[in-house]
Amino acid sequence: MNSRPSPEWGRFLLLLTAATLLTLVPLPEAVRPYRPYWIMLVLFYLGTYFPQQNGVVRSWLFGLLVDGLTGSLLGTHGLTFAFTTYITLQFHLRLRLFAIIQQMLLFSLILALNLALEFLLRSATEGALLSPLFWLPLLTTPLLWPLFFLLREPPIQSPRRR
Amino acid sequence: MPFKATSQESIFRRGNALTLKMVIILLLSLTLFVIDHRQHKSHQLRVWIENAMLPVHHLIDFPRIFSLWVLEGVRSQDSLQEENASLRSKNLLLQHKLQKQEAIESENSRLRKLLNASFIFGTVQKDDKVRLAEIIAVDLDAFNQEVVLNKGSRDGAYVGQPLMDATGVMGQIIRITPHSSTALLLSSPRHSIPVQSRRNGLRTLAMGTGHPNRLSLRFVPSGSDLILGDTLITSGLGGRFPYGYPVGTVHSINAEEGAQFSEITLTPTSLLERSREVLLVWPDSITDPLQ
Repeated sequence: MNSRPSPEWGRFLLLLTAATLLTLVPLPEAVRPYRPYWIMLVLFYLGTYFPQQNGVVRSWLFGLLVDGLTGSLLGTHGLTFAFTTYITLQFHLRLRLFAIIQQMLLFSLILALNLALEFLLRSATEGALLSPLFWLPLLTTPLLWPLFFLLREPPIQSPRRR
Repeated sequence: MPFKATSQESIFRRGNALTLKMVIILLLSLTLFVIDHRQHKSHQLRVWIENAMLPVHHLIDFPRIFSLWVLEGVRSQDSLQEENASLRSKNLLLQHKLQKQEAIESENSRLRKLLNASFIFGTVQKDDKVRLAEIIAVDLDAFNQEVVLNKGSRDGAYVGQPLMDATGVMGQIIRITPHSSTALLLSSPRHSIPVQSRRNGLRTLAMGTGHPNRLSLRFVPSGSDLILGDTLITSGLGGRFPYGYPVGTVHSINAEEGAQFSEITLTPTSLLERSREVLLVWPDSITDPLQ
């Protein structure tokens, strides 16, 4: 990041770097499974409020890096991240008009789909049963959405359509 | 950043292209799954990615290193002297023990030669070479029981290499890059290790349970001679872990009447979740390329 990133990339790089660090920082054993899925939150946030700054290809490439960082099967996070971005980009105009509760619900749904995909892949390739605690981020992550909701740009007038 | 109306329109046109991209990404991901799984997660692409991401691991580890450094600086002379004294006495004690052990080992190997017994695969421990490595404090995944070490193939480490701490076996290396490596801990359900009882030589397999301080013994016929507190050591079978290092002590035995096998759990002797400094072991049969 020596050269100044173009504005289209600034938020993407900054927020996702922060989210990645939060994902990898060691936590005490008791709270480890509760760690919120920060990266998903950021992708959902960027996709909804800054669609120009997010894209499925860059989400996928970023996911591959995360796969390398965490040792998961190459492509797992790539696919889940790209999928999240895809859904939010497809529906970002509607998502923006949603009330915060609706956004949280939809986010939970997307997160659940992603966790399910990861669960299936890991069960298929690792040959060991995952603990049910695997699903805990589903409870903790949506609770953090209000934080991002407050961070968003104040709603702008909807652009005039023909 | 409120975006301009022109870029707004391009988003609408992006719709179809987006779906196309997503389909391509789906196919690419599926290809990657197959390749990565087939290659057991060790191939050049993965090494490149993991190598490029190593600075991130070190960045996360930095606060710990820094605080250690500060602590080192402000530690008082008194406490250092105290520590020195206790270390000296401990050292004496250990040396004494070591002497006894060396005597026993040499006697053991003499007897073994006498017996011409080759049923034990491993070699005596004193011939193994060890090198210190450090665990980088990074949380890879709450359910994977994998850790990152600061030694890689440049340091002579290899995939399958045993990993120990001062008290026992910890696991083995499963992935490697030039400057770092990833190790799987004993406690992972994906890990199993051939063990035998130190007391009577009963051989079995210890498998991880996913719980950091429990292992389970498999295929022990009910009625076998194992009692609470028995220590299990590596048996050297399989040729990966050298013979004779402690793995765990028997924590519970549940032998149901009429069942074919009894359920036995172990407490690992090594501090799987707490050790920072670990030992990489080059068993005698495998030569260390750097020495």
